[in-house]
Amino acid sequence: MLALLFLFIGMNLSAATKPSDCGVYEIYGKMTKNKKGPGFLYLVNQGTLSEYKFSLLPQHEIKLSPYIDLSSKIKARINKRITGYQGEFAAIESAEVVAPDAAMLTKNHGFYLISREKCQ
Amino acid sequence: MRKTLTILLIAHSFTAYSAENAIYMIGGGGEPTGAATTQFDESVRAMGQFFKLNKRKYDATISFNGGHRETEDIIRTDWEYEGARVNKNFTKSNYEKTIQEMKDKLNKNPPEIPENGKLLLFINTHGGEKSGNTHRISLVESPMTNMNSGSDDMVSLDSLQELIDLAEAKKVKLAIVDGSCHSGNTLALKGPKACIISGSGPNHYAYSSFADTFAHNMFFGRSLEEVFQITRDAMLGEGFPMISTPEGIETQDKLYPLLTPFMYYHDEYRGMQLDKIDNYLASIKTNEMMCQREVQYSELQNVLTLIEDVNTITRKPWWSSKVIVEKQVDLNSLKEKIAAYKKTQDEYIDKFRKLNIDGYDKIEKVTSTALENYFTRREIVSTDYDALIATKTAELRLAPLTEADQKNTIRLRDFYEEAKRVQQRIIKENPDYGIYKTLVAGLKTDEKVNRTVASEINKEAHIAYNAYYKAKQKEILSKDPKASNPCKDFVL
Repeated sequence: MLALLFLFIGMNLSAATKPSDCGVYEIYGKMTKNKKGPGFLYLVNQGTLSEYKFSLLPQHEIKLSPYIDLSSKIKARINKRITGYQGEFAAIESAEVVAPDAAMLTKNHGFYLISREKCQ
Repeated sequence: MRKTLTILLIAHSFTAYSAENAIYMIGGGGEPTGAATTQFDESVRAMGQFFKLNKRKYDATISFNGGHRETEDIIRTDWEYEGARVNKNFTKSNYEKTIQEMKDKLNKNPPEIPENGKLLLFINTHGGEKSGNTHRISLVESPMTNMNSGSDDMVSLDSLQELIDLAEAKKVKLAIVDGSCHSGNTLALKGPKACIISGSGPNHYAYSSFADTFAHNMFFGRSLEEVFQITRDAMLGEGFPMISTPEGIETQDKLYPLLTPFMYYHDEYRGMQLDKIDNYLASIKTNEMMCQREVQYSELQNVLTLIEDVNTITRKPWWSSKVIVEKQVDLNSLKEKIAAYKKTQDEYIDKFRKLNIDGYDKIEKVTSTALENYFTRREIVSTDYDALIATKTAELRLAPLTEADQKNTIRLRDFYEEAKRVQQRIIKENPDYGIYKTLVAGLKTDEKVNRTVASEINKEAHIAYNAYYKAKQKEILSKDPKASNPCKDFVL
C-alpha cells in the first residue's frame, strides 16, 4: 500500500517538477544573477527543496536578457540527462513573461515535456 | 383521534414535498493546488445550511472542487451526511453528468420535478470573459492563469440553454445563479420563464462577497428576487450583479454600459494581473471613440439626474408658503467620483493617443563580434543594458575568473554595449516607445486607477441601481398589481 502511495507521488512529481528525460520542455522559472560566480542562472522551483539551477551559455544569457528577475516560460532543449539539480540547456527557442507562481499554486512552475529525444 | 391527526400531519409533511424541488451546486474550480481551502468555501457552507434546513422540500446534488481538504470536509459534513448526492470533483465529465442528471429529473415519467416544481442551479467558480453565447467557467483541472480569458480546459455555460428549454417545456421553475467573474454573460441564455442571476456584469470581475452573501440570504419563503435585492444591498466588493427580471434588464441596460469604464481598475490576484483599465485606456484611439465616450458620459449624468428626479418629493407645509423639495436619492457623491475618475482616464487616454507605437513588436537583430540574437523592439526597449554592462564590468574587475569565463564575460559585455546602441537608435527613431513603456508601467501602480477607486464608484452605483429598479418595479405594479416574473415566482 505504502509502495503504491510512493509510486503515485513519484508519478505526480515527474509530470511537472522533474526533467527525467531529454527533449524539448516548456519550463517555468526565472533568470537571476549567479551569486557564487559570474553570469546568470535559470532557476526552476526557486526557493524549494527541488530547486533546479541551469547555468547559461552566453548565447542563452543574451536570449533571456530582457527577462532578468521576471517569471518566465521558456521553451528549451535538454540533451543531457540531469543528475542532481544542476543542468544546462542545449538550446533556448523562446521566452515570455508569465504570472509569477512563487508558492507553486498554479500550473506556472516546473517542467513540461513537449517532445522526448534521445540523450547524448 | 388527536393521535391519528398528528400522525397524518407528520406523514403529510414528509410526503407532500418530497423530491418536488431540487438544488444543484457546482464549481470550486480553477483554485490553486496544495491549499486546504478555496475562496468559494463560504458559499458551499451556506448552501449546505440551506439544504439542511429545507431537506423536506429540496433534493440536493453537489459537484464541487476536488483536492482541497477543508472544502471537501464541508461538502462531506454539510451535504453528503445530510443526504445530498455528491458527484465528486468538479471535472468536465462530472459537469456534464450533473447537467444531464438535471435533465433526467425533468424527463422522467413521471418527472421527479413536477409542473411548478423548482430547480435551482448555483454556480460558484472562476469565470472567463464572453465566449460563445455566454462564458466559460473553471473546472478542478483548469487552474486560472489569466483572470480575463481564463485558462484551458474550462467548460462553456452555453450548454445550459437546453436545460432552460426543457424546464420551460416541462413548466418547471428554473433558476440559475452564477457567482463567477464575468457572469453577466450568463444572462444571454434565453428563457423568459427562467430566473437568471449573476454576480457581476459581463465585462467585470465578481471580486466580491456576492455568492457567499446570496447563499446566506436564502431562506424559506423568500423569493429569489428578494434574495438578490438583499444581497446587492449587503455585499462587499466589486462586480455589478444582474438579474433577468424585466426591472433588472431595464436597469442594467440603462446603467451598465454607461458605468462600465468607471468600474474598470487595475489590481493583482495571486500574482495575476486583474486588469481591465490598461487595455481600455490604450484602446480609445480615434476622435470618434473619444466623441462616443463623451456622449456616454453625458448620458450617464442624465440618467443619474433622472433617477434623482423621480425620487424627489415636493411638499408644501401648511405653515409656510415655500415648497420644500426633498431628494430621496442623492447621487451627487457618485457623480463627483465618476467625474474625478473620468478626468484621470481622460489624461491617460490623451497621453496614449499622442503616442505612435507602430512597429513595437518588429524584430531587430543585434550583432557583436562574437554573439548575435534577434529581439522584438519591445524586448530591446524594456531591457536595462546599463545594469547588464555594469554587472559584466564588475565581474571582470572583482571575480577571479577562469580564462574561458573571462572571455565569455568580455563577449557578453561587448554584446550588451552593442544592444544598448541599438536601443538608443530605436528610441531615437521612435521616441514614443520609451514613453509608452513608462506610461504602462506607471498605470500599474497609479492609485488613481486602482481597485479602491472603482470600488467606491461600484458601491455608490448600487444606490442608483436600487433606486432605478424600485421605480421600475413600482411602475410595473401600478399597471398590474399582480405582475410577476420568474425570479419573484421562485419562492424558496
